[in-house]
Amino acid sequence: MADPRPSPEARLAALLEAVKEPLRMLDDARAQPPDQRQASEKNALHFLLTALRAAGDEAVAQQIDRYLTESAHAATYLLDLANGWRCAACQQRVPGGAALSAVQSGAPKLAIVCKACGAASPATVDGTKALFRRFAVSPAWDPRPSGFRWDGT
Amino acid sequence: MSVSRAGGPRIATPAAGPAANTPAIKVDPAAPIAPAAVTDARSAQRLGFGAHEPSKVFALLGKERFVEVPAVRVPAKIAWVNFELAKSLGFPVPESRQMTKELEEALLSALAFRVLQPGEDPAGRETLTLFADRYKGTGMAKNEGSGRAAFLPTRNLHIKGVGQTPLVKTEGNDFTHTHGGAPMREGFLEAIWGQVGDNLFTHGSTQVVAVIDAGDSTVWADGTHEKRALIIRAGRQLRPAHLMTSLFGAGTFGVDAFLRGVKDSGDLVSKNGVPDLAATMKKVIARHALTSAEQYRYRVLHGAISTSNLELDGSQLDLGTQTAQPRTAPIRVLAHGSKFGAEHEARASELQFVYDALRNTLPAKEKKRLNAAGLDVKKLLDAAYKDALDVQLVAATGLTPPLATELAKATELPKVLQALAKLSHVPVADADKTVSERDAVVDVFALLKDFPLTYFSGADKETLTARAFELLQPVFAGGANDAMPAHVRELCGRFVAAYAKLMDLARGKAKDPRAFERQVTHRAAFENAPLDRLYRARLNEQLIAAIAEYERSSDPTVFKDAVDASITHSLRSVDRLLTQGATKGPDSQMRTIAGIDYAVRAQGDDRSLRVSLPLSRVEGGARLTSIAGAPVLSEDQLAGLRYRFTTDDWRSGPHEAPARIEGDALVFDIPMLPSEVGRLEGVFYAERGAFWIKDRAKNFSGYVFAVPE
Repeated sequence: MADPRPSPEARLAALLEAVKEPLRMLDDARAQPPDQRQASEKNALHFLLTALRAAGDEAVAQQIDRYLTESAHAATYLLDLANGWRCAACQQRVPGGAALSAVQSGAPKLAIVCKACGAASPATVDGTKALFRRFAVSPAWDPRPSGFRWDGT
Repeated sequence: MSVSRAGGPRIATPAAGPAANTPAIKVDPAAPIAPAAVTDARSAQRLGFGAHEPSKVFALLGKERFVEVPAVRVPAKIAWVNFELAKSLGFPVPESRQMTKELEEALLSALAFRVLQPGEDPAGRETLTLFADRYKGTGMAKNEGSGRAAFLPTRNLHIKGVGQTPLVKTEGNDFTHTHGGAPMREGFLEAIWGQVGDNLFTHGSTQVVAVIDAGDSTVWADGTHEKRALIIRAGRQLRPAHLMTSLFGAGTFGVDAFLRGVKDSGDLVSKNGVPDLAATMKKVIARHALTSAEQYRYRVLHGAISTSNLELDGSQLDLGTQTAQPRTAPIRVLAHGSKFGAEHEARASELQFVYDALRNTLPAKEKKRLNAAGLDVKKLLDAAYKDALDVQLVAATGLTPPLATELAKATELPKVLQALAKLSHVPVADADKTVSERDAVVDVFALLKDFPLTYFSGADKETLTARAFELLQPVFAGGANDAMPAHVRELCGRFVAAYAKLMDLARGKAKDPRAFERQVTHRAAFENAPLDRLYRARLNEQLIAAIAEYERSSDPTVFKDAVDASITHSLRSVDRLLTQGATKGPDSQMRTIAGIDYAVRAQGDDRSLRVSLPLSRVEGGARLTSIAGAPVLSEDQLAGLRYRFTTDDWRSGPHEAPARIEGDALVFDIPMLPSEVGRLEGVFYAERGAFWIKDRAKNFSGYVFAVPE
């Protein structure tokens, strides 16, 4: 019976095709003004990894997923973390940041900081689901490098 | 056999005026001049005229002010187009605002013409009569009007670079002024400054609807070549010089034409049905004073003010020398041009020539009847400019224009800011080939841009003064005897006191102090950001490189970054942004850019940016109908489609928004606070499966927005 998987040549061709556009983005990012270069390069690398993840095999995908969750930043996923949220103090729905507590307990509590008034109030269930999906949450996790406010618990 | 375009509109103009010594004023305030074809926005009257209406300029000036010029259709392609303007001019622009074969053919069919030279055989090509406009004024030598440009019969469009017209009267072998071409680079300068000017200046600017590549170049004596273009320009395009027949003399038609022009721009003042020439001229003077003050506030220099490089109504015209600068140095572009901060004086001088010349065509009785009293234009314009500049500088603190107008004289802030802005290390700086970054001692607008953050933090006076000094980023000559640092510190102290008084007065009029602070902070940060893409020396370099790349690749998308992104990076007026685009229900500022729909949504107290992509369902997924190539996404890709975006040029973030399907559209919702303002750009991508929507190797050129209170 023939191997149903694409040939190595076909996989390589697909991989090269998939990374073509992200590599062009990377070139473009390097031509940006200095104050925009870092973020633009970060974007391009993100797209490059996304492309590799889609074109690679399961092991590659898992490795990239792990890298993406470990390097994720709260600012990037703030709208996911604040899904359905509204500030308990001023009723605005514009998130300005995210705060965590009880991380070491294994059941972290996520709060969203209001961009309008600065008050923090609890995230929704959907927001908390996004936390687990986007970040490498564990009792040993220090969420500060990932852009969260953290009370150390 | 040549094919002549049939069915064109007849040029309807007023009958020629009677004898020179008895001009009759035929202005009927109730009579329409030409209906506008579009209803959207303040520029409609100036820019949008129907496809089948005679160009308005014929009715304003009279047909004797034009020379008929036979023209021939040329093979060409569109290098760049302003989709919104093209639509308002009646061209078949698709909803996705992208180039189609039908649109390109329609544009070329209507616009791609050049002058048929005497004795030249059309050789079967389509011909059309164009109209070169006569005018006179400063800086024209013996030429009698448009020497390389002519109006089309309809739409009030002017083709620049159309070839030499009979109005060129240059003697000798002066190739530079007789070749009849226009550089493509100039077309892009006009395109960029036209749209930016329409945002920055109350009275707007002429605008370019298309830059057309007819495949030719100007070959200079040294053998180098410069890519040419047909530059298609829209606008009222009524120059003070159109009223003149010599350097200091107006034609007998001049007063008639002036009154028709000011009636069209809404400046005609009449008493008991009789036009009041002096009162009307004062309104024209006020327009020019405001434009000059707004130029100062945004650090813009026109560079070549003359009788023919102005519009009578104060809008900007002939933008090839215009430049922005980082600070407020006394820059100059042309050796004989005005310096930054003194262009209002050049405007006054030109308007004085014209007004005096118009008066001189009138017999004493008519002078009296029309109240054509003598005016000291310099004095009037100077006073109006000072008032307008006070308002502009107070508005630059982040106050809304009505509040800035009310409080313009309430503090010495404008005086202090002008004193700081005038501090310079040089009497004049060349801005043609270099960027003047260290000629001005301080950066006044950098101070205004970021000072609100410190001020509203509640810092004490000493801290505020130190912060003001720091934000000014002073450049001192140095040396033990340099008195400048102490002078700047003294002005910083006065600035802080005046700023605090102004903000106290303004806050006292605000309903919500927190909203007031947010508004001031966002406006000041956005409106005072330097127009750093529009420094002439850099912009020229960028355009030259883009044109070279275009010549190599024949791909006009290279101009998306060089032209479109330069425009979107340079819009600064929050108030003008608030009125951009269409409004429907809770959505305002609705625009479609490259197939993507953008809007600012306001529902109750909630504000958001709404980005959407129209889709149609197909088996196993959906087709994105407005995107080039109409890509199909699988259900998996649709579910994981995200928008990775920035609103501050990637200085923070990046941020991501998930997609949701709403009816026939993929929608991305980005919550915003009232008063936020910025430029949204980003990339759509599928997390599961490689898929991107973006402009080639660049991000989208961006959607500039201002969230309403």
